[in-house]
Amino acid sequence: MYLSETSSKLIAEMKDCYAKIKFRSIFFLLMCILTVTVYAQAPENKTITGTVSEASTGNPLAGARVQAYNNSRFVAMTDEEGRYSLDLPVYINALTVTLDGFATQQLALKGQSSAVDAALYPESFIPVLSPLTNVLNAGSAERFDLSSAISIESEIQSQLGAEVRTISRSGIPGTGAAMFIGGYNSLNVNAQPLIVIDDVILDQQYGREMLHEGYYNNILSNLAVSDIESITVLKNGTSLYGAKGANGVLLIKTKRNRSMVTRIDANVSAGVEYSPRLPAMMNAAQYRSYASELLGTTETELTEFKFLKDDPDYYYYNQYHNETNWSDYVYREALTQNYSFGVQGGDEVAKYNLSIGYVDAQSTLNYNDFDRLNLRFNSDISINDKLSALFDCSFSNITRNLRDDGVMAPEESNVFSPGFLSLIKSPFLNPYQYDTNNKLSGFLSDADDYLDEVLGTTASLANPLYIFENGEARNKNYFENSLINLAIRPAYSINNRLSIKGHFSYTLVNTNENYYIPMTGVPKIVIPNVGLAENMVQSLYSSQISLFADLRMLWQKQSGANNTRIIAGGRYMNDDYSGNTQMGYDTGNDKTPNINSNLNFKKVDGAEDVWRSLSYYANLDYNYAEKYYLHAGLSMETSSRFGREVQGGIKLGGVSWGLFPSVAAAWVLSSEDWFSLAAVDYLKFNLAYDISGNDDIDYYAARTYFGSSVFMNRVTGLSIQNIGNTSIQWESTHRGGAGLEASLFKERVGIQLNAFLARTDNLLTLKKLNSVTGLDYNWSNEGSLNNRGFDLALNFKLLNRKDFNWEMGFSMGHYQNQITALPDNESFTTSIYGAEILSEIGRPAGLFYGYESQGVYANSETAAADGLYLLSKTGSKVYFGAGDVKFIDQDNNKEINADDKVVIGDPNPDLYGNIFTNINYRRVSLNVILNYSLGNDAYNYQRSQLESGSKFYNQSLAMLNRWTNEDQQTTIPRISYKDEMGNSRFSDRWIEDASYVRLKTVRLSYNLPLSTTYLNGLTLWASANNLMTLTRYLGSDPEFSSGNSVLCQGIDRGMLAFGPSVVLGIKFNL
Amino acid sequence: METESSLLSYPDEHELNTSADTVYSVIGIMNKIQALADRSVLLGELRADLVDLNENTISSLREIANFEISEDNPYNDPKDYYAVINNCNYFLQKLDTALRKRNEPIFIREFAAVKSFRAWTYLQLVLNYGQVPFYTEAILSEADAARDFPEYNIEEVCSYFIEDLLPYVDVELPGYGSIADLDSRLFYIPIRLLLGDLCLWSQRYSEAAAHYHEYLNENELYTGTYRIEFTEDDLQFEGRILSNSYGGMFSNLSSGSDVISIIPMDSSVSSNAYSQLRNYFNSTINNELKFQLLPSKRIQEISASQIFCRAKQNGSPTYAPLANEVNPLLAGDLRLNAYWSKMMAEGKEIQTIMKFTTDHVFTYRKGLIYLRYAEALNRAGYPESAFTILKYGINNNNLTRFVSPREYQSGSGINPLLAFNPTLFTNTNTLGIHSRGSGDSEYNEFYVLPTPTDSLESWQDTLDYRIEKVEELILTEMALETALEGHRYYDLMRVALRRGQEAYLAEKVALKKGSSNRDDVLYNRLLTKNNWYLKMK
Repeated sequence: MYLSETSSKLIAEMKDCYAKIKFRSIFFLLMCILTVTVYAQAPENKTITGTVSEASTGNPLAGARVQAYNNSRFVAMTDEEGRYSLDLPVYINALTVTLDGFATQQLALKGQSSAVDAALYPESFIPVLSPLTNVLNAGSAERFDLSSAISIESEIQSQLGAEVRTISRSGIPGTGAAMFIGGYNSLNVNAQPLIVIDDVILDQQYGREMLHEGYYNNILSNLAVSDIESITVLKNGTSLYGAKGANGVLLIKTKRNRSMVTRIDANVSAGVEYSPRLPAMMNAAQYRSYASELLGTTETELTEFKFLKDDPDYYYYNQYHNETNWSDYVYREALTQNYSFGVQGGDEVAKYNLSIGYVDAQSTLNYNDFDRLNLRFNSDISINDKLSALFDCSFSNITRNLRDDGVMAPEESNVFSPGFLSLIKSPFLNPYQYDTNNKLSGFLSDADDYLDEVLGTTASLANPLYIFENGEARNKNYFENSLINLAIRPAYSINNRLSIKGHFSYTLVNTNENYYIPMTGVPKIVIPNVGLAENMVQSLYSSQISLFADLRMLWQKQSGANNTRIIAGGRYMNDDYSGNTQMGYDTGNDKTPNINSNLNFKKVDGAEDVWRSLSYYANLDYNYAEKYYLHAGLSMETSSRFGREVQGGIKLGGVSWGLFPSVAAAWVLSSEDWFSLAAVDYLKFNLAYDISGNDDIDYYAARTYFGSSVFMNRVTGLSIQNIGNTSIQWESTHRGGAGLEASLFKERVGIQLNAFLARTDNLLTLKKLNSVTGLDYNWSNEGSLNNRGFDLALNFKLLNRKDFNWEMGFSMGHYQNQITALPDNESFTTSIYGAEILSEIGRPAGLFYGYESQGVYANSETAAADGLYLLSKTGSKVYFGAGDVKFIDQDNNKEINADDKVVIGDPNPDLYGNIFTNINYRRVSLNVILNYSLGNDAYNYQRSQLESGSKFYNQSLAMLNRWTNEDQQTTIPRISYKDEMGNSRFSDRWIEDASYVRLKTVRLSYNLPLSTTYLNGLTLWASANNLMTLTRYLGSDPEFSSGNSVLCQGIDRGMLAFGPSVVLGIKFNL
Repeated sequence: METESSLLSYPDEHELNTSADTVYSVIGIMNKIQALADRSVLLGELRADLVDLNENTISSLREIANFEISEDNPYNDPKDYYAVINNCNYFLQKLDTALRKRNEPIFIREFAAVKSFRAWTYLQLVLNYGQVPFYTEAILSEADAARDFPEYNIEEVCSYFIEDLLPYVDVELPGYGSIADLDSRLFYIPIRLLLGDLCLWSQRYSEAAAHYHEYLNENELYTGTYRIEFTEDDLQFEGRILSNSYGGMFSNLSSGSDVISIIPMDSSVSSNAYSQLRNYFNSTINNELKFQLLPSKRIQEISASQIFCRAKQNGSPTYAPLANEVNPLLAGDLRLNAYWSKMMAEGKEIQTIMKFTTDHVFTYRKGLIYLRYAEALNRAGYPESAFTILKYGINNNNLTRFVSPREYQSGSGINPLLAFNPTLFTNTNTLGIHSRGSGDSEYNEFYVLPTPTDSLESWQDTLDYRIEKVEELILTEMALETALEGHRYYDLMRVALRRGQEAYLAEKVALKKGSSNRDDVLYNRLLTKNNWYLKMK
């Protein structure tokens, strides 16, 4: 329905094309090369002349290097008057002009031979075009110099925000962001991009769970931003990454030394982040009245409560008459220090780049600090003319304090998250105890007990300060992650056309986490359906060893106008992950938080996952006269996770292989002789088509296996746990892309535009098994979805004066996702934090599915007139009355039940991206970056707790408008302990528009005019982040991510929001 | 390309040729059987006439009682039965029965035990679903799962497993010692009892009687003296003093007790293998004292309509009054009173049913076996002997005294279906089942072998008359003795099938709320046999 006829046709054509490519591509390509080679036999020459000047002043520039595009054999330098003259073969259609301090410029000849003039812009402008033709039109970023980011995701959001939809996970330092390239290319398995660091695929452990609520172990935060040279976003041309590339690829390159000059850089910065915006909560008096009213809806017959007595002489008066803003004790101004130090140097034999960094970042939520030490040594060794090797090693170690963050899941009754506790804790209590003389002491108050007479201890809330202080120790709430990588890349040139390269890498990622909930200051811990415990301890240890080996052959030839480069090789990867978690209760006291055999309700869990893959690939890049480009690639990949009898691949050597082709072509129109549009400096079109895979298949889905279970809490039994799906395979994504890259008006305007159309088939889904198997589900490949969209980046050089220049740009991304097939064509819902997420054919993934509401019944009469009811769990009718929410009875049967659910929100944005502007005045630069996301809905789960009116949690100020008396017109329903009518159920009451525009970064830097023996440069900079957010969203922050999975987007668990921050830094070049 | 994990094992390496492997697998099967425990009681009882609901009853139980069981009802999932069956199939297929030690196949006990688990599970499945996909080769691949399975009805399932189990009828149970302080031998389904049941369903009554008889005699399972009665001091039968060894019988799992076999369940509520029965039938902390199921008006009527008899020293009977104004439960048969207690606390009614006080779910106990033995004997043509089980207790002495030689003798000796070891089965340790709750029924002049008022034309006519009447008495006794334990619906179904009268089951079930309160809708629904069964999904 959503898919227009033309797009279906296009898909059909793509299919067709794929089939043809498979059989004919190689033959076809060979023919092309041969034909063109014959034509290019007798080069004729032409002479090109022109001048190079400074764009701001028009002054001629001497010493500029003018070179045939991508061909260093034809070079000239400009003279004093900025003039050059260059003899070129006829097939050269463009020049590049380079000069230190200026941005490289590309000049299309457009058939002219004289007055081919260049006007150079200072290098402070962001380059409009990539230095070499961007056949795939891939976006990239490489300016991270003065970044205050701890982990690179923040820079990806700032610089590539339209190409990579980047959603920060939370304000806990270093937790990174969920990222999606080209919409959602999976439904149930990983949809995050593949991360490739220096050509090595780094497993991000996306699906591994951590002990602390709301915490995500961001493997990418092991990489210091200051070590990164560039990031490229691959959407097409991913055949090299075969069954792993379907979600797009982020290619990250770390810094290497390319010159023999010794350089020393040091960068020191320090900053402060202020507390985030928090919901406005009731004060002590308001909460007292709320609690008193709610008590009336419990079954209690008690009438006297200590906390309700207003007599100041009463003994307990002080204890229950405080005005505490608990967040003051839980949040703070957080300090961050960031040091990095780098040395580059070397000689003809060896060049190296050594860097050391240290970050200590406090979190605005107390006791969630981040510490990182990182070390990286990249070296390039040239043994002789033919043999060379790259040897790299890196180490990083992250340690943290951690506490639970965010609202716990609805089925969880313990509240351990200090942030959430600080909102819901009664404001009339004090964190500190009153002594026997009724004076405030320095001792922390125990868990609250003002409701004990009515509800027992179940309603008691912990004192968050106890969770901080008694939870503090290396063996309590502590996290450590280290990553070691060793890589060697030998290369041997057989001749100047043919060479062999190897790449061998070893990566070790170790993670350790301890979790502890103390017994003091915390109410009894509820273990669902088991009983109560005094305290709780958990530990996690995991270790992953990844081996990576790649061997390839390169052949390249430049012959006249023909440039050919062929790579063929193989890659082997082996990953071995082992991990275990242990938990237990009742250690006896808070001094011995250790796991031991005497603990109650012990639970041990483990994973031992080993997977490997092998692939062979070949890539061909060819261009004629740097004008017509062709890229073709094909890889075949097999993996231990595939079944033996997959449908979509080939069988070879007893295993199944998937085939992953990609083709791309680009045409630089501006290099054509006939191209005469004066306003257009450069224009390139490209088309690409890929089939790539997602191999995030359950490790053992293909196998029938037995698993163990514990019988009678004592002995182990083995039983069949899975019926292997022997045809289980990768999800396959067909993606077609078309792009345009242009620069206009003497490079004043830069445009990069990509449009894509993609279809993912063979979605990995759990499919219902025939009940005779005795099992519920196994994994299968069924279902499809589509994505289509675009990303656009525009860049304007608004002003270019001698001392002053100003540029501005913006980017926007858009995708539209649609599920087109599901197993048995049945829609299904997934429950996440009380939300129901709908997966249905014809609709986008991730929709919120719940009840629609229409205000609150003002009086019994209107409620009775509607006569709506629900069925209790015993099957009796319970009618909605005055003060209840009026839910829409979609099927008009008077019963409000699951049949009345409809789509109530869509977390997918319409547009997202950045707006930036850079202003340079002499040596001062001002950079401003905004990011935005428009049209996305959010489920404010935190607010659903702060306005549920069903628990003795402090509530938000909105709850002052709750319905209390007949005929009261309001939008907030009556309060009722346990909420029998489900007024606070998952409904449109909690769905909000989470569109926002955020002033993400404002940075001012000053480059001191220094040049001494010891100091080559000194830059002072200051940056302010998250200064302002324009949004109607009621939560703390419209940007949040509850998880990487497609289905949990837009669910706000109230995790730590970003506060405004200020960072000051100094950068030295020695 | 294949990888290994030490946490999983695959069929090709799970060979079942060491004792460790076999133990793990047998335990794995027991683990799967736990999923069937609660429903074996709920489906067998809620659909019959002895249990009623109250305002706390949750919808899933309500659906069962109303024969409107939805697809997502947690007690309606055939998959759980097949989980046992498929693991059994794998075990039976893979177990290396060729391995021998001292010329004995070393895993024969496990082999037999698993055969019995499988047959029991299939019987449960077919009784609930009527017609079921049947297979005995393990499903290990999707291709296996896509096979066309024949559909077996009750008759076919029973015939198959009678043949399947017969060769192993004398194999002993595996002994794994004590697990969680329970003798692990309690966890198996005794083959002979299961064979008795299968034959009973197959209407092979002599064989059924022979299996029950053999099991009781071989294992020396005399009835014991569990009973509830007014003590002799309570001359007015007011219930001031009761002697009750009956109620506690259900929590005694030691050897020699009434309990023969159980599905062992976990004690922790969070476990998947925790039985909810106690929270449905009793007021507990877990259900905030709100029990959901209670003995119906019907079982109260049946109990009350019994005549309690007490014999004086000289054997002359006295009878309790037909009604007890102080405690209505103390009229007629006392067993209901023995296991059902009610009281008020904080304005709430609190109920405890002693049958649901352990963690576990019973599969067989002596009282049940004796009544099934009686049912089989009666239909095999021995109603007098069957009645002896109810009234006097079965032993040689009572059989000689109260059963005509036409039944008791066979050729020159004792009818082998009725021969008991005279030194073990004595008058002192044998009690008529009816005496467990209705006093000294051996002296009860109102509780007598049905005899036609006018003599009938032939012995066979008298026999036929008796068989039908005694069968009614047995059914009543089953209600008195095994109510709420999950057998009633199947008992009614078995008799209805045997008699070819759908109305037999319909009539009884419809009287759940008392004989003056017939549920006509339910009655009409149950006149159609198809409605007796759950729908396969």
